[in-house]
Amino acid sequence: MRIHSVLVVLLLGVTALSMAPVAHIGGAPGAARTADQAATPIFSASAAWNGHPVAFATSAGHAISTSFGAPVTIEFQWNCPGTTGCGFGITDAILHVLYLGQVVWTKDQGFSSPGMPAVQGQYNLTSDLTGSKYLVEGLFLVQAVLLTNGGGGSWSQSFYVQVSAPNHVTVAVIGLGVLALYEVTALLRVGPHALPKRPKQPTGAASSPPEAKP
Amino acid sequence: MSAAGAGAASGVVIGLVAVLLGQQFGYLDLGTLSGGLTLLVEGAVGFGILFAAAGWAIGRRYLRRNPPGATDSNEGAPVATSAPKDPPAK
Repeated sequence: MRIHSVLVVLLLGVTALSMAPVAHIGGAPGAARTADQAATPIFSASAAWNGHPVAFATSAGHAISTSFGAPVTIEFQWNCPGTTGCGFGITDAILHVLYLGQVVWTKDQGFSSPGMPAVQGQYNLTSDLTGSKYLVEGLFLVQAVLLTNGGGGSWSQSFYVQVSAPNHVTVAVIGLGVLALYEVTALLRVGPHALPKRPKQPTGAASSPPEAKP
Repeated sequence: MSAAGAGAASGVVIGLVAVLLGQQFGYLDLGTLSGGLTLLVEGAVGFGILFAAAGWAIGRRYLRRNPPGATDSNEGAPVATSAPKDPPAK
C-alpha cells in the first residue's frame, strides 16, 4: 500500500509535467552565457517573456508572473556591433521548460540555411499553452536559447516564471491534495498496528470443529 | 508493521507531496536536478521522522485504551461474554 502511494506521488509529480517528449540539453542552467567568446565582434542577445525582460528573472524570487490561459510570446533580440555582422546566422530559437533538470516541454523554431542574419534582429516565438491551463501551475525554470551556425556558438538565458491557475484549480494540485488527505487519514488509523502480533495458526488445522452427529 | 513504521511510511509520502505542492504554489524551485532532489529527500525524511513519532504516540494511546486481551481481533469490537442461550426444550 505504501509503496504504491510513493509511486503514485512520483508519477503524479513528474509525468503530469511531462507535456512533451523529454530531451536533454547540455550545460548547467544558470546565468546568461555566450559559448563562443572567440567570435568577434561579440554577439549579444536578449529575450522577453510577454514583454518582461528575462534577464531580471534569473532567481526564483524575481520570477515573471504569467498564466497559461493565453498564448505566450517570447521575443528574442540579438545584435552584432558594426555593419558587417558577426559572420554567422541565427539557425534556431528554442524555449525549454525544465523540471528536475530535465526538459519537460520545448518549443523550437528553426530557420532555413543560412539562418537569419546576426547583424541585428528579433524574432517572436509564440506558443499556445492553454491546453495546460488546468494541468499544472507553479514555479518553473525556463531556458531561452539561440543557436547559430558558422562557429557562432549559442546563447542561452535561464529564468523563472510563476504560472498561476485560476483559484489553484489544477489536476496536479487536486491529485496531490487527495493523496495528502488519504495519507493523513491513514496516519490517524495506525493505532491497531501497535497491537502485538498473534502467531499464525497452522494451515492444516481445521477452522471450525466438526459437528457432532446425533 | 509497527505503528511508528506505518506513520513513517505515511510521512514519506506526505513529505514528497508537500514538496510537490510547494512547487505548485510557487514556494519551491524544482527546476534543477540537485536542488529538486535535495528538497524531495529533505521533505521525505523530515516528514517521515515527524509522522513516525506521531504514529508511535497514536499507537501508545491506542494500547492504553485497548489493552491486548481485552478486545478480540476486530480492533476494539466488544468481546462476547456468553453464548446465546438454547431455545427451551418442548
